[in-house]
Amino acid sequence: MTKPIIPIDPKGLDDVADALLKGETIPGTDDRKPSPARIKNPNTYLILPGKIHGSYSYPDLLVPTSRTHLNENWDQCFQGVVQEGSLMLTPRQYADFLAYLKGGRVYDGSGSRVDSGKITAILDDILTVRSPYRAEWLDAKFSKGEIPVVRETWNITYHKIKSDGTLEKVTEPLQECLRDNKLPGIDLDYWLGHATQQGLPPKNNSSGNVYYWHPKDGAVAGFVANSGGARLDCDGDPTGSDAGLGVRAAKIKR
Amino acid sequence: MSNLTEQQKVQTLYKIIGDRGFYVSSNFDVFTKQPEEVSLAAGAGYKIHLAQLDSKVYASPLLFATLTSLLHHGTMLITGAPGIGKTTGAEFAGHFFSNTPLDEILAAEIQGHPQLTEEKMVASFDLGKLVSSGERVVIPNRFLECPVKILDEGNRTPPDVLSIIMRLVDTGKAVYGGQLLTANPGPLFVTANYADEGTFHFTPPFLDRFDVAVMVTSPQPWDLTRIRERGDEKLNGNGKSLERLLEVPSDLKLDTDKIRKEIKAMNPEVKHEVDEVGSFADFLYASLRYSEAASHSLVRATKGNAWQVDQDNAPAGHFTDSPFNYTVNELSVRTAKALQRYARAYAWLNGKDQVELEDVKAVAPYLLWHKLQPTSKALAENSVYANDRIDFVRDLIGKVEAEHAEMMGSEAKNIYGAALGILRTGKHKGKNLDPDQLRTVAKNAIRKLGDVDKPYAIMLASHVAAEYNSRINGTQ
Repeated sequence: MTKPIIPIDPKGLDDVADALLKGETIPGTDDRKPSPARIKNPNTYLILPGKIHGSYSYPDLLVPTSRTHLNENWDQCFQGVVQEGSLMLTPRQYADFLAYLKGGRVYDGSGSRVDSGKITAILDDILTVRSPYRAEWLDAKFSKGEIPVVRETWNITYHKIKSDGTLEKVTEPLQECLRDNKLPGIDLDYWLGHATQQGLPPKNNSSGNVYYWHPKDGAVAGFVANSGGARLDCDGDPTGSDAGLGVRAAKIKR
Repeated sequence: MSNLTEQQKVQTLYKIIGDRGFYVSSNFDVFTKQPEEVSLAAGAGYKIHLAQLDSKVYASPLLFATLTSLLHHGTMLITGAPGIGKTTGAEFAGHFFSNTPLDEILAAEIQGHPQLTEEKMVASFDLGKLVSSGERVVIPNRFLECPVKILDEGNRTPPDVLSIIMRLVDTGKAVYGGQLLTANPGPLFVTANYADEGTFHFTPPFLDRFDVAVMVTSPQPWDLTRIRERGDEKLNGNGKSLERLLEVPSDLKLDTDKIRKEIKAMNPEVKHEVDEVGSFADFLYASLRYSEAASHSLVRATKGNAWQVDQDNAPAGHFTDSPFNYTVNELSVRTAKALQRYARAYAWLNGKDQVELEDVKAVAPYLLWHKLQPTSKALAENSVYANDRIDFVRDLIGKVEAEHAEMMGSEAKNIYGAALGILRTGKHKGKNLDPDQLRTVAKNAIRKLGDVDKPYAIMLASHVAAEYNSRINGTQ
């Protein structure tokens, strides 16, 4: 039997103990708020909790509720967000962001719970098949390996967040993932629940109605929705631009 | 027979060392109460500290030399530029607080250099007996036998030679010729100049063996007058005047055994089985220990296990602003023990009845700065931390304190307390719970603590799990 590591007055803990015994919600703990972010207009951001995916991890992020840098190509967008001290979401972070929104328990940058109506509106903007064209760049470029030894190799280039908050460009082999176009499509929830460490759908992603273009040499990633469908596009042309195509300029939560 | 308490005698001797010009420094950097900060240089960021009316102030080199001298086996590293009194301070503190004549201390003192041998530091064989009868009789040297041990300019000695005295620094014991030798109890001081072409780096394990370390700062110009007034031994020789100055008044002779007993008895206040001093010190230890890069297993997720990818070159983890992000390494168990030892001695010196949280916070920067390596994140926030590690640790403790306060005001504390209360006794409201109910409590508590997105919640949940698992062990 070990002693507690902090002094705790046992008086008044009976209710908490009862709840633990019965598996009930503990009084006062049902809606724990994250700490507010030190940022201007915090309620225009959502707090995406940091995650660890195998050897890849990232800290708590602030993801804006809307896209900016519209009508810019991939490189312009990337340079723009970096210059303002922000970052472009990687496919892994984007998959986590969508899963977070679909989970329903979302907090804005001030630490306040976001009401379900607002979450639905954000998801609608991202996913619903309708006009107009809405799209956002993701931080991933794909390339064919230079020296095919036994079989063709593929790389992904993206940016990791270092412990001091700066970005590090990383090029690494593309992990095993779905390497066929699915038109349509892949099951969104399966992708979000089983995405690879790099954020792409797994090889055995179950079928659904989200279009999927698999990685091609020189292409970049993005997510698109319009009247023709919603799609995860890993065959994006980095030079393209559109009035509806932008980026979520995310920030590290501090 | 003196009417003074041992604590009053020490305070008087402390004053005498300054008054007689042996260690003169008004570079006060330890305050028993938070000093008032007054800005200057037109708000350029500089601040001067003014002591509170009912407080005491100390210069850390002499304060910690004093406390180290009072302990059974205190070890202290004294760093700084050459020629500013590092060795002198240790010699005089040893003389006045360890009842050891200065000549004996000087005779036993070792000068660090690249050719230093085990024989010079620890012991040698009795050559007469070895030659005449082949008997291997070990004779401990004066360094080992003197109650005050000083290794001057220790970093002029290569690390492999220093490793010989690693155990001596740590435990006061040494081995020579297969024989375990126990040094006379008393302080061990090692001085080290800042790095130059003739110095070696102390290895982290060697540094960790020092309870405390100070940066000696050159005296202020107004202190030089008092230093000159003591006399000039290079002009006049040591002579009678120095002898007189070195005299310890008979009513100020210290009873070191009594002092150590009194320090040991400086117990902190205990609330609900836990002392707040130990609890905070342990929280500090825990806050710097965690490493997301080390392992996905919480059992191995410590900085000590981050041996390939450490805190500095790991990708950002989930908790980016928690205190553990600011140090590359964690604290050792010996450091955790030294924290309480020195806090008690400091509280005793200040005439308190018991050690308090403030005492731990006052001594901690000097017990940790030489051991904790700041991460690039810490240095990016404040580049001065590269030089001023004491300030780095002081600010880090502030961050830990904020997390501690948050934990103590959080619901996580109650969940942890309620679960642990049940798991320790196996009862709730006086009734025995069956194994399934205990498991339910453990599981629910861990889940609830898991909702709290803080490293301290992981620590509390891990303790709940450990208590449950130990219980299973005990019932099988």
